[in-house]
Amino acid sequence: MSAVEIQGVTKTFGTKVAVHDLSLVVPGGSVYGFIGPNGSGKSTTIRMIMRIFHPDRGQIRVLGEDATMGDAANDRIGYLPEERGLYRKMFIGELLEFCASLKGATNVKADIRRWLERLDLAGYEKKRFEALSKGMGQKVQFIASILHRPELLILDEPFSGLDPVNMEVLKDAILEVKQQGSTILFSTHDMDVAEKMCDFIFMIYNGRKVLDGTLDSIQNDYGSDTLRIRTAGNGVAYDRLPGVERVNDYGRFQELRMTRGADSQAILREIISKTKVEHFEVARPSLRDIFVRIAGPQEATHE
Amino acid sequence: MSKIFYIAKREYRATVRTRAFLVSLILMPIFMAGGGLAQKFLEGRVDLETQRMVVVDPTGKILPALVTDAERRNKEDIFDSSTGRQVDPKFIIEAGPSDVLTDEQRLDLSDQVRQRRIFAFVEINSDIFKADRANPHAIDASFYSESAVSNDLNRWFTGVLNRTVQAEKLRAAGLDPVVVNKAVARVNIDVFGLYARGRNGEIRKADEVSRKAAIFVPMGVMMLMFMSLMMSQAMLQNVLEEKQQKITEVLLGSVRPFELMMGKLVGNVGVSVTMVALWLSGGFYMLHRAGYGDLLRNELIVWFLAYQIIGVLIYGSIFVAIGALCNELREAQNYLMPVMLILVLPMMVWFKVLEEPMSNFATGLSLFPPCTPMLMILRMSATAAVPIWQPIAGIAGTLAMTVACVWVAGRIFRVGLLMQGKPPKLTDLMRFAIKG
Repeated sequence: MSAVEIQGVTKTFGTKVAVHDLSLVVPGGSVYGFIGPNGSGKSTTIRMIMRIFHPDRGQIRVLGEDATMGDAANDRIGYLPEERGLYRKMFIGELLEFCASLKGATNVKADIRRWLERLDLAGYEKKRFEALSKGMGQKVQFIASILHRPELLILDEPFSGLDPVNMEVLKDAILEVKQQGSTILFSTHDMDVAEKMCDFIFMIYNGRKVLDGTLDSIQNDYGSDTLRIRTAGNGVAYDRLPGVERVNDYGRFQELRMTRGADSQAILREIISKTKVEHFEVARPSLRDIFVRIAGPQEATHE
Repeated sequence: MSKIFYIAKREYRATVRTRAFLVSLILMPIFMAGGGLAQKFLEGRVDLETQRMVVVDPTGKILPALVTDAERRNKEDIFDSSTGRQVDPKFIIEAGPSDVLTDEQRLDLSDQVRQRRIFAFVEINSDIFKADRANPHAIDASFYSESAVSNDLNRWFTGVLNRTVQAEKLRAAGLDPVVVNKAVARVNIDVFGLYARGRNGEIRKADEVSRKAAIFVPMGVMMLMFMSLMMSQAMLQNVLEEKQQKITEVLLGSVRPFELMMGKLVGNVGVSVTMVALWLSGGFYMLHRAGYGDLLRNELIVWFLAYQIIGVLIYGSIFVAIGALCNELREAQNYLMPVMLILVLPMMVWFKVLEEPMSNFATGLSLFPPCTPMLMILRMSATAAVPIWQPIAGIAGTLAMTVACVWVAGRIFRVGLLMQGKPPKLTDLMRFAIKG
């Protein structure tokens, strides 16, 4: 069964079309990633799934229920909005119990203790929310969204502003929730996270769907048109090479995108004639590269 | 339903636990009592510096009368009869520079007042003794001092002047001023409250204290209502803060906007009832100890609570809606203005209503829903004569308004909560209210 089904949904604010004729299916039990630049319609789509906004047109079904209109909050969903805060003066334990009670969950004390420990926050029940750092607060908010064991967990940019350690901790926690049988839908700007965590990736750009599928299928659509190269010197002007359309310079290595039908071996010969090649790989484009190809300004990655 | 309860419980506990709640709980009665004490204290503080007055008297008869009475007063009237301490300033009368003042001289005298050499100066009209003047409104005397407001010197002067002129006119008409004064002396009337049957069945007459209580109890009860309605204003800040701290959307992931609003309203009613219950029982206890417990009739307390709950719901829902529409307190001021005007309207007419609680004016205004909670309770605590249909009609009217306010506020709340940017215009509001 699919957790979320969206069909032909359009949402406008005033004259601005935030989401245009969008359709998607989130399969049950999967990890589904939303990517897309700021202001492309990710949060609007998520808010429509949450029934905070109503679509102007189209159908939305969530966990088998028609969620197109009305404003019934669904206790089977856990939600961490992008704009998130909690009562600053409340104690963490009390706060989490309150959040759970709003979802109809009681007797969650043991779960609260377990999750606080799991997320390196053991002993924080008696601390006030305002005493926490931003990263800690974010983890507490995550706990608040899962205490009622939701069937569908929706996280709007759960990793933003986290350091690598906390990011890792949160990632593992999310995967644990998935293991318990929940469907996870989250949005992110971190392409590495999306590549590693998501079974399905969905990209929205200017309110329209531009990518939808497994990482594999998306990369296959783009073909093996990318060369990953590391050389000894930096003297090569890659973008003037015949058959190279575009260059992503990552400093220690470079990604070249070949024009359609170009010969990778011819390009390799050309480079070898100029400098010493340490690494050469014909690869499919990374998700980051695909993202930039779709949404990036033309100059951003061009030398 | 249970979600409304959880929201309400949190709101209630969060508010009651704050220091602000405790402070206002204690401070409010202190302020009210303190206001009375401060007035008592200030009454005793009078500037005892001698006040000089220059009198320009072309008739030659007023000045000697003023001088004589001032001397008598300086000897007899300005000391406290029991302690012998001086409690009022001395008055000293001086003759003016000439019989008729020029503008130049008026300016000079005015400057002397400004320099504190004299306190005031007076010009007497030479026609002042003419019994039948062509113009009855002609001015008989002019009193100049720094403040145009009446003061002790002015009052004393007016009194002496009137007595002198009357006596002179009576003599001119061949009448004995002493006889006439006795004949026209004021008749003394005292105003009493009604007789009542006391707790032990004895018939009790209204004494001096119960007369005062008859004013202070209704006033206190109405002030209490006013304060509990005003307290709902905290709801506005509460909603604003949740918006600013980004809590709103987290909550909307779990509860419907209407549940969120109702929870807040119920919590606020709880806070308000708690505070008033504490104050009321304090006031009740004190009245009982003073032996005037029957002034606060039991059914009055029931009506008070009913009106308070309804009133707090009405104004609370309005404040909540305003809070949802704005992103900053500054923006809220525009919307707040008309609400405040309606809220303080009863405060502007309360004395008229208390004077005649059964007049058409009082009855009509007390049935106007926004004013009902305060004015109906004021009338009912002023007199037991309010027929029962009126408070019931009042409840019906305010209840209807409550439902309307909560319904409209719920729709505005829903739209406003996640709105960013400029607050909407009135036309937008109507659209939200109708379309939802």
